[in-house]
Amino acid sequence: MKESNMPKADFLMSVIFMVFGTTIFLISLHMPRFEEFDANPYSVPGIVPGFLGVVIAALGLVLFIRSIIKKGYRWGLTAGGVKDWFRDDGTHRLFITLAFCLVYSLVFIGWLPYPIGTVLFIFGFIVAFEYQKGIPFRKQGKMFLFAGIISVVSGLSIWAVFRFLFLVNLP
Amino acid sequence: MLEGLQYFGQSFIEFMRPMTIFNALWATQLGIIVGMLPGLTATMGVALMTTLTFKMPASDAVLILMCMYVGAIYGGSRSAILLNIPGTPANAATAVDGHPLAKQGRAGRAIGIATTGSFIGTFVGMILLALFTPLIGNFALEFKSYEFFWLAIFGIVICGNLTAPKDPLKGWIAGFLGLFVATIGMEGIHAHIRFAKPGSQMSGGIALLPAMVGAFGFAEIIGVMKQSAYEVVNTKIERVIPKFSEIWKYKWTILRSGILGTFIGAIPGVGEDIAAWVSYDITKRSSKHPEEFGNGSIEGLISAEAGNNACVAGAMIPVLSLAIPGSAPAAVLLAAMFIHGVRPGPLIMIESPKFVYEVVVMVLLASAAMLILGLSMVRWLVKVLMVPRQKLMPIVFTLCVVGAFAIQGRTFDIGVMVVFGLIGFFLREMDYPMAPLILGIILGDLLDKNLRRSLILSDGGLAPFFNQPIGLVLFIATLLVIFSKMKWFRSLMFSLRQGIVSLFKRKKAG
Repeated sequence: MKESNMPKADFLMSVIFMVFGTTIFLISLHMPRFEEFDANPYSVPGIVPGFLGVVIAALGLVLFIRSIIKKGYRWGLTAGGVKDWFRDDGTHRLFITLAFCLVYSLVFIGWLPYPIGTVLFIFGFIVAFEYQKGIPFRKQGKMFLFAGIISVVSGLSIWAVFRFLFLVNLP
Repeated sequence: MLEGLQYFGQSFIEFMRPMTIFNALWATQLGIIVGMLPGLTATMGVALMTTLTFKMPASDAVLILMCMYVGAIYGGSRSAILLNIPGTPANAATAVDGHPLAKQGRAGRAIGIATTGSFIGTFVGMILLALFTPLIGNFALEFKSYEFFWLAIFGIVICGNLTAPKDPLKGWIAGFLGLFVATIGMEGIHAHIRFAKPGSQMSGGIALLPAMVGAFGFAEIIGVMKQSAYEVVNTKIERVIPKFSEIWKYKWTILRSGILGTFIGAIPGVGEDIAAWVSYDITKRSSKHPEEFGNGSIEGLISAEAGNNACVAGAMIPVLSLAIPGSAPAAVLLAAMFIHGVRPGPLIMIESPKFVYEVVVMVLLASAAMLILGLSMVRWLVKVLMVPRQKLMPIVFTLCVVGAFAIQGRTFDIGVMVVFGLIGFFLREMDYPMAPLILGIILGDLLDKNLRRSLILSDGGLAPFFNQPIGLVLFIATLLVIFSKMKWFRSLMFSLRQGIVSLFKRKKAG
């Protein structure tokens, strides 16, 4: 992140931390006190989270004051700036990575047999980053072939090592 | 002392089996490869290796993890020298002088110097580990609930300070968030489930390993893929083994960096990157040729590498004596020890003193393996750096998924890994360090139990937190660490120092 954007990020995060800390504190207040069991009042479960909630909210407040001094509340969002961010190569790579990793870990795992899901994920990931627009599909056959070999060999090896050597019941 | 030597000797003989040596060699080699690949950190390597070794006997598993740790911290110097990209954060200082040396066509020499510096640094750390762990362990027997509470707070504060030197406030926030994460799930006194529905997966709490694999593994993968691609320096690798005279010339630099690295490693949660920078900075200040630093100084390179590798042994001192990790990879090692039924902490010198010396022997084996492997197969290993990240990262991510899943066999842990990866990535983008967050998760239980125990013992009184000598020292140290970053405090300290100096000068003149 650019240094000039840091006060804006700090402003947003400070509000989140203050709300988060206060919420923890309020939830802690409503935790059981086990008075019916004659429990020592200083042993109740809410003491430590309550203390941590106060500290997090206080640190958030310090960050908030600092970001206000640095004018972090002036967001200055423009349509052009947002467009530039979406057009940036780094942003594209970020979204492709997130999409593949999230689909693999949260959808494929448990829904598809592990080796199939893993081979598909590795193959898709490599192709997504190596596929070149503008070059005919058939001229990129070598890339597809290598992606296929790498994904099958690595996916099946990881599955076999964990399943048969380390006896992990993979999903 | 003699008992210690006896344990060391016994452990050394026991470890001299062909299978153990083979394990040390392959684990160190794998560690070197993990370390030299940008995007794969030592923490990630040790965390993934924990899942691979959890069915092995404790001593073999801890040896493999130790070798992975030492190898990875050293291995990062390769990419720092050849790519100007530190393989692990610990090697950032190495890149400052290592890469200029590679550009001057002296890559082989730089690799040889880095290897020897790392070996001697680890060796110095190993000696201090053997000397100080029993001392601190015996001292820690004096700790009561009040002291453990302050130790947890001090650990978070100093870790936040040192891992976020630009903005310690963010380090402290990350640390307290980690402490909060540790309170999720069933608490230890009344068995009440906090911040989760009874019977849900979360009621068992957030496991450390999936959280670490996420914060250090998945977050790193996203970060690496977001950046532009790197290019390897096309340099010929000439003679790698350094001349004895070259190393002897910098004996004091290596010794000083080794001692500094070890002591920084012993500070909870601080880690190898800080150790390398502090060693580098102090060497630069005391050097006869400070102008060479940043332009390919051998002295700078050797101090950074001796410092970060000595830190590995240093980080094991609080792990063994207090059950508090000195660095992020040491935190995984601590978790792995618990998984294998080893209980580090103040009682270790009473319950299993031999284990401390077994760890010392493990460090010795790891550093010897690192020296042998580091000075050989250099040209072959450089080829590993040619692997494009888009081919490597999906494989690493599948290992992260399996790593998170394997320990308890719960798909819930894969979700934990993903969530911590996303949180870790976004927080890191905003300069929040991850080490205090993870240290917080580890220290959370210690803080929770000891704060409540202390309040029960004192019947709600706060005086015992401040009127016990060790507790008071820890409290003052915590305050000093917090204030040390504030301008008014630094100017107050400066004027105090000036006042004392002028007072002495006046007395002398009188």
